[in-house]
Amino acid sequence: MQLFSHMHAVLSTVTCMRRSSIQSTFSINPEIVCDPLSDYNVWSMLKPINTSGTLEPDDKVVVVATQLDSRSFFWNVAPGAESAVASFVTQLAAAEALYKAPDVTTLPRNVMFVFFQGEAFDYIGSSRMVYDMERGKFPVQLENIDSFVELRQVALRESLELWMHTDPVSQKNKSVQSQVEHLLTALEESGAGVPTVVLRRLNQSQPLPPSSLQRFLRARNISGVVLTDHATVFHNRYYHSVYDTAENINVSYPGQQSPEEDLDFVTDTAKALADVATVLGRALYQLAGGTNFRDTIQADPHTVTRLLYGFLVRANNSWFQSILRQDLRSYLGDQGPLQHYIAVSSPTNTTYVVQYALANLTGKVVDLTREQCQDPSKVPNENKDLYEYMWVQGPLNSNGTERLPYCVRSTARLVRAVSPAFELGQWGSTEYSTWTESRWKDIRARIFLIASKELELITLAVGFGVLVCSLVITYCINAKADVLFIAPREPGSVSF
Amino acid sequence: MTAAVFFGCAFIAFGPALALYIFTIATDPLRIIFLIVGAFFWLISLLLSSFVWFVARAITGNRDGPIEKYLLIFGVLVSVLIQEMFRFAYYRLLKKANEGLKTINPDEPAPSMRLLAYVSGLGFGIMSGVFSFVNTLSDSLGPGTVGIHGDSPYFFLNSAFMTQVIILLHMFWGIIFFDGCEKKNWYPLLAVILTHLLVSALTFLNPQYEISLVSAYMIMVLTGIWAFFVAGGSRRSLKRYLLCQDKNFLLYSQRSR
Repeated sequence: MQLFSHMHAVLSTVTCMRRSSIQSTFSINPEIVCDPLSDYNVWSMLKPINTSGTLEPDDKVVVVATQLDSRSFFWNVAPGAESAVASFVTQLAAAEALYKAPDVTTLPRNVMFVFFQGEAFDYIGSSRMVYDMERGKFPVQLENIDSFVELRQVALRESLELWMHTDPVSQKNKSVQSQVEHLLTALEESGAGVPTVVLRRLNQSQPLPPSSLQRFLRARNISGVVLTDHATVFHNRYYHSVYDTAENINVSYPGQQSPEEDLDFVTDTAKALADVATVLGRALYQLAGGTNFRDTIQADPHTVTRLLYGFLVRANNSWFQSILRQDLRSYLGDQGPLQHYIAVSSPTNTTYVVQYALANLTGKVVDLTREQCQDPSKVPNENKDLYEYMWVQGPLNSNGTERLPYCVRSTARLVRAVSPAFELGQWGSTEYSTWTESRWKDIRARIFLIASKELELITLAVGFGVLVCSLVITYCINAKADVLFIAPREPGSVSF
Repeated sequence: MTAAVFFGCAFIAFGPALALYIFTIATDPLRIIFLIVGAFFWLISLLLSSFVWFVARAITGNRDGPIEKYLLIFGVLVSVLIQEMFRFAYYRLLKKANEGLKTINPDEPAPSMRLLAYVSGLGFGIMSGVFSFVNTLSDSLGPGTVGIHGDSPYFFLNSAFMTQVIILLHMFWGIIFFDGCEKKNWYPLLAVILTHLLVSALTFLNPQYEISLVSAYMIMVLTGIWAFFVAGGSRRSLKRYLLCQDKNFLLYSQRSR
């Protein structure tokens, strides 16, 4: 059995990136051997901000973050139900609930929803965002961050408990500690109104679980909390595994239903995640300075279940089809769930679908034509710096033949997520992620019979023997040929 | 099956031919030319016979089944006849060329017809061997071997031996054939054609290599003995050669006087 699985990259990122750069500098037809893992983060603001500049230092932002990606042992297989999907679906539902509050435009502080890509590979997305924030390349700066809430693995809550992790090291600073205390009380007060979620604090000295907050804390002591379903040991038995599927978080549908019926069927997991989203939404409202309408914020389990169905069971459903742009239809695949691996070509399916889902859930339908939607600079009231305009397919009409497209205006945007190590050219960096993916040739295998070693050696020996024998015999016969073969007498010649 | 089998089979099949070439042909440029022209004649004969086979296949419509085998047998027999025809044609050419060679090179004696018979036979044989075996040889270089569907694992070895036999047989047939043409004796020609047909027909018995290979070797030995006598050998000369009495022959016969 012969397996051909040739990978062009060797040794390490440093070696393969160096070789790629030599190729691209000196060769007409460069042969790149590996590519850095890269994609886009998805982010949006509760109140629109001008993305062409940066915020004033007095504008404070509450950041709520989660991760978009997962990984497994196998390439491009990353179902990531508990490790990624459940958390970002919860965050999407919380965003939808928060945007519906009546007085969002008058809240003192802004809220930034960010979905980091590449967290499974040493925090590519979050390290890049911190790097951009430090250099002023991102509209929000580190000093604008008031507090930080992160969602990590929230689907397997035991006895309704949701744990709040904080960082003990940064809390040695008194002001940070009081801010963290304020953050935790806000969460607990919001959780009081939702009986199906019980918020629990942890021992002060326990460090944070692996989270994007750690990248922010490396740059600045901000007050942050990480919400998880586990206190110490993960409840997820299939963390970063191929088995982290819908089954792992108890998302199951009764049989005998059509895909469209399954899409709208509200599972228990969806209800539980909607409750977490409600708590999160209310806490964010309170942290942003809102007071009046906190208890009216409610996440919709129907939204949660449709998102879970799309990301974990079948991406090619009618709702996902209606919220996407027309040329992105093929990103939904044919059947089956999406795989949440970051990959090297960007943006990936997950990134696009999350961005468009966020736009659909938090944005507004505006009455623009297709040309206006694609280029709103000419339209008087619309501002490309404040908003993102998307021309989406829309649902099928009643006949089921055509789509009814429309324009969605939202603040859901993409921002580049490549590890700063590649920007700086520090391929051996220990500070930032340096993950790359090798390029490869076609993978194939073949089975064939091989001869026994004895037969091969016998053949070779016999061959040599025959060659030597024939050389010897020919030489001997040739030397004495005149003895062996008597030439016939030519008439007329005399010989003695 | 790797380089071991490749080199082993190559040496088995082409060892004798290589030895003959190195010691007898490579020394004289004229002989090399005659060898190559002989090889070329064989190649032309095969082109013609493959054309005949192609036409026959086209006529019967490229169907699969037992008709394939019959077509193959027909093709092989026609090919044998055409090869012998071209051997005869080469003989006529050499006869005519002899006159021309004498005028080009009046000092050196022209090669005798017996020598040309040997060279042309060897040329035919080498080309026939190369043509039939080089394909198999190049496949034997790969990592796998024949036999995954139950075929004989000794395919390469047997093919090599068969090729060796064919090369030597062509050489002997050349000698016998030309001698028969010279003496205007038609029975040797008929014998050559019949033995050629017999050996080719024996290969249809493959993969029962025992029968085909052993019979082919026996035929080769018999043909070789016949060719030896035709070429001017005799029992006396053989005895003299083996007992190394040649050098001392004259002295010996003088002393005994």
